[in-house]
Amino acid sequence: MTRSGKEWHDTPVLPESDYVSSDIYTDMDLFQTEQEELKRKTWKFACHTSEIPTHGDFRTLDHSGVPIIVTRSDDGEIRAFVNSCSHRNTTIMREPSGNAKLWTCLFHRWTYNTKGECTAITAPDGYEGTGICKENAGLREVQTAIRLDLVFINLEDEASFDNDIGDALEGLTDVLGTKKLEVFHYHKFQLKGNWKLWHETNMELYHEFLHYVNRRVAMGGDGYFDRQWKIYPGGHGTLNPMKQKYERVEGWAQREEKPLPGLGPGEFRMLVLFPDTTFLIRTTTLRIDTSTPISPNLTLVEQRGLGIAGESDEDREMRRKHHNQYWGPFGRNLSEDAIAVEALDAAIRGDGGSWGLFARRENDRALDDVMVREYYKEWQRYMNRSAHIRASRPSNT
Amino acid sequence: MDNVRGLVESVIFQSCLLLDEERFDDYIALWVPDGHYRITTWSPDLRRELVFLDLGLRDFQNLLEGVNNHQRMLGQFSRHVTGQLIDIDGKDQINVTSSLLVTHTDLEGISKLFAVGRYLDEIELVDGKPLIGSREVRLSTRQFGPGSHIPI
Repeated sequence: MTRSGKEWHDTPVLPESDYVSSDIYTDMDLFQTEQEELKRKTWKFACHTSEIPTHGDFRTLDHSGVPIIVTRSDDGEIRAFVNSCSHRNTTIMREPSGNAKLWTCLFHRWTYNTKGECTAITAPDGYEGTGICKENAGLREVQTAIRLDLVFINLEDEASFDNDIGDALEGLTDVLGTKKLEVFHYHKFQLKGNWKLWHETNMELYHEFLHYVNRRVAMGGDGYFDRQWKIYPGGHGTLNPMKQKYERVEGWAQREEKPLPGLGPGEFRMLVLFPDTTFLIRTTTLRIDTSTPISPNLTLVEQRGLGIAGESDEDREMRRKHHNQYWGPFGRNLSEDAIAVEALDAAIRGDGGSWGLFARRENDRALDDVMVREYYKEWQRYMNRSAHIRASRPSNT
Repeated sequence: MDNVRGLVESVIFQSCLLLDEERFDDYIALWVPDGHYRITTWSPDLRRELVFLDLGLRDFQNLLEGVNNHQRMLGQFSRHVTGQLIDIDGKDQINVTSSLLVTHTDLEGISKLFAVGRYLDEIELVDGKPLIGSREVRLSTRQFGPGSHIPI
């Protein structure tokens, strides 16, 4: 039976936890609030330590609209700063990565060391008597937390990684903590959709019927539907591991050999961190998926692939091949998620629907929407508003 | 020799048209049986080489045969090669460098640039007929929107 316009937009007759307003993906005011109240107060995965292995190495990134530089300082410590000159806020390091002992702003040549200290101000005599001097012109330092060689940053001065993340990384301890891993793959793309829609693709697994290879490899594996979500405080979660059957795709071999530390043959694991990062492990290779909002309907999605540092060319080639089968820009799986999210975004941006339903209840098994519901519980805590209330229609609130 | 150059240009051009038209069997027929296909780029993010695809012909063929199993970007890709440098060493192998642009036209008729790069081809003369022995698609572009199930 079809529905009238009123029926289509009527509030769902469901528990409030089981649906969200489409406005949380489209509303500009909500987006700004998210940037300030949520993204800048939560832990952002910035890079893996293998991306900055030697003193002076740096990576730059955008975090909720704030330019960031992450570096391995001359004393070996990893630090992060706002990548903005103390003088007039010019971006200091414009490359995505590099190595430098000193960072000189191109505009007026104020210079900083890798500890963020200002070491030189051009023609300082002109500031005499103003209080402006290199001693009080250091960069704005950003909190860092390094766990299992993962570098996280937080723009809140007093944030506590252990309080916010707790034990949520425990499922990665054997994988990332036994041998040194390194990033061998990186690509990014702009997604025409809201950043939360992308993250939902790692929490709402009901959509996996979309993927040809998942239908064969995962759903044809052992116990796909019976896996249980384990929810951690703070909107994080993980699924019980399972063994997948890669040989069910024409021309693919089962992944029996050289698994990452702690993994068994064919084993798949995934771990979701609030608010925007997911770790997916397919036996031989690990993907780190994170995103950065650009606007309500534009998101920078970043993908990293990891293998074992120092391994043979032959082993690396095998891991790279396995990675690219699923997750490369010409792989079988990743682009289908992006296409689906963009199709969803196109409809809600045109006011094609008011509500997203997360009402599946299967005793916390894989296709239960429990992970999304827990995610939005945490989202609501930061946003101090409900996800199911429409933003632009006060009468509905 | 001019005839060989013409045949080489033709096989590369055909490879573009056949992939554009998704005539995968005819496309594979342009290759030698032990052909090799790669997509590579340099990453300024990692400061290292990246390999996006690295396939022997059999795996390449499997990938192409599986394309229709997937949800894909709607519309059509169009591959444009120009400015070929053809290095004929006097034997049976010819190295060819071609500038490459790939456009995508969606179902609304809007065309956008999808990728910029080069084809680095090794062409083999088999019974006087040029076939693709290996192709490295060397890309400058590193962002591809949702990505593509069809190689470049």
